Amino acid sequence: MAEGLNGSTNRQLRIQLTGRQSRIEPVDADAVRRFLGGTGYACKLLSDETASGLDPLGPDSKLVFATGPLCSNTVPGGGSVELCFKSPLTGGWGESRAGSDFGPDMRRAGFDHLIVEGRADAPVYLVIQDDAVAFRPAGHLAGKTVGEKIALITAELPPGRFTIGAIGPAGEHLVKYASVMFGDRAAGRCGAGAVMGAKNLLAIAVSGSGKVEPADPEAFKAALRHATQTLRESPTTAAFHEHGTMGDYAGNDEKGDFPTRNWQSNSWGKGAELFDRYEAENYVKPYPCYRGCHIACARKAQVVAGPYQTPLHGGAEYESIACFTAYLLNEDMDAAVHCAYLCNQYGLDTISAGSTIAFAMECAEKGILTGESLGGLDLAWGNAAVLPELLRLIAHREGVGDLLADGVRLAAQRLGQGAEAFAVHVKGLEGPAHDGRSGKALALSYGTGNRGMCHIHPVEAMAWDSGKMDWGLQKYGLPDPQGVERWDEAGKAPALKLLQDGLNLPEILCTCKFFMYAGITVDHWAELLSGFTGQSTSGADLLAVAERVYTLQRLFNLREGFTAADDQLPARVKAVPVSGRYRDEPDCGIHAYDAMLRDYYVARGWDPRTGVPTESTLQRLQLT
Amino acid sequence: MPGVPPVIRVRLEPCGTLREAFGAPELAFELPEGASLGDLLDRIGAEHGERLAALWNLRERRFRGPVVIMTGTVVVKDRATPLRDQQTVSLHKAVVGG
Repeated sequence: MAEGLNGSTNRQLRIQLTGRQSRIEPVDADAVRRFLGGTGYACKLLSDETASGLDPLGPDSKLVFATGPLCSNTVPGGGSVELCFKSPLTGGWGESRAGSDFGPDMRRAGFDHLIVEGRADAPVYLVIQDDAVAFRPAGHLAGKTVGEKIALITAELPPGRFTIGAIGPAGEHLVKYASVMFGDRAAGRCGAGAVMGAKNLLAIAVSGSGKVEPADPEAFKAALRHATQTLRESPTTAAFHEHGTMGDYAGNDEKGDFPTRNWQSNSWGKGAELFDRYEAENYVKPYPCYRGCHIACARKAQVVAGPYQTPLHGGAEYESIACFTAYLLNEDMDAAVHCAYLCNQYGLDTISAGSTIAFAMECAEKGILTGESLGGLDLAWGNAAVLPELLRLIAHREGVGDLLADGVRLAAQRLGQGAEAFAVHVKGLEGPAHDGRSGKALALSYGTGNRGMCHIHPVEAMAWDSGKMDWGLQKYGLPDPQGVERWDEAGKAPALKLLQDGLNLPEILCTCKFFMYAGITVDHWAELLSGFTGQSTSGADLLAVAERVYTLQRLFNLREGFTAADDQLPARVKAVPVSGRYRDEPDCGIHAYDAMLRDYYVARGWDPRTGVPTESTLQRLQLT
Repeated sequence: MPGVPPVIRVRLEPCGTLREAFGAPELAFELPEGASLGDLLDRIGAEHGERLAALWNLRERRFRGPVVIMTGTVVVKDRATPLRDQQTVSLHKAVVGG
């Protein structure tokens, strides 16, 4: 263990853009031992190497492209890469995952992690081919869409199979929720694209000829067989493949898990009709987002004709489509598919973009954003025609787009006049398309998520108390979801702590979380890791690492000035819906959030009043 | 018995949240001998379609979204799949993330 993990490269590549230098160095073996990889290793690195209070868009910030010990095309879900950074949107811990061959290709090139520092004096892109690193001028790429950049770079690359990560115009214009795109797949949340843009780094192409082999091939093969059989027998594998993330669109509307009209309601009543339209007219076929994926849940979609004509592309994920329909009361599915495509081409996070537009529509309705400041745009609820132009303005920071490019928290602060009441975010991260009023564990996870109001980092907790999934965590103490009422609040906090730790593991190991929906448990991950490293690891060992990582991320936020006040939910998110099928259901409102939060702090070993990890907890987790 | 068409008995087992949607953990259906999965789905739609609401596509007589039909550990999709007497068909409503 002294030199890292067997079955890993145990090397990292440090890119200093100021001066255009690169250096290959060994990984921090002690950090690997305690935090493994992915978001765990990266959080340790960023905690150690950056000062609190730094400007996320300044030259001193760092952007880590992290892989983990299970990042491999042969591992179920192993086609992943984790981007870690201080978020320009939240000012706190930022992490964002993409499904792609980029991570496995980094490892084939010989690097577990890529650390980007400094700022280039002019736009560049990087070409990494095994140990060779080239800084290439990128002036000709400036202003191009993601697709245009990737096409131009591909034509300039040396022979070899490369995977490319690129920003779009939004990243170049420092939109605070700009994404980094790996083809059609996004590292969308928290603004990694803006960090990259601030560094004048427009893209990275990576290619590797090496192999990362399991240290114990027989044990790894056995673990792989076990995992593959589980996946084959899981109904969720088939469901994911057949329907993708859009599959729950209609059901979420029915369950009250469907934020509508900027969270004024949790249901709309249009879900089934729009889902049928999407399946009939927009959905084309499934595809895998990395080579070897057992599930292939990604969707190819298109709009064949009309004002929103859109070429065949990878996209139309549930979050994107829900944010561009129910959030805005937009009933035009073609427009929603088109907007999700535009976001990917501009390099915008679809969730924050849709949420911010919903906020703007409500501000317009209330007379806070007026015709003059809107430049003549009609931001009436449901007006699909305005959306493409509004996205262009945001991506290029033109007109009202400049205000909206900073996200709802800052936009509301600037607008005043009560706009804060419509700004739905936690820690500055806009809310996604699941509603904590459908299952209260999610509400608490929204408040306590280290990257902010996120449904998936670390856990879609409503899938437990409302959806009755347990992800194999009952053996570690998770209550049987069949015996849990979704609208109860008492007793949810300790369960959430375990759910967050368990579902944090894919970000640390660098695997796809959806495989846990399809039956891969903490114990499967432990078997696979034991085979890959040749060192015996148990599920309990992994949960201990996950708790340590989660607490370290909490410490990162605390040092950046976050307090327990930042774990609060917007009032609107807790209120009984003003419309929709749940408006007469007072139990779906969140009534004792502070009590849940206090219980959660206790479950984590944090001070019940301040939410600061206690000294004994830090010692227990080896974080002192 | 002469004049009585032979039937098969099929057990339907809704799993997870589908138990709530169907209002029962288990349902029994009598279908004509030679009946297929499509025949069972038609019966489900006729008898439970309204209760299933957004989960059931009335026009196309099929489940909407990620409801997976299994016999044992085998996922069954083809409406023409023959059913046999005493067979158990399970329904799973998968949560598909995102």
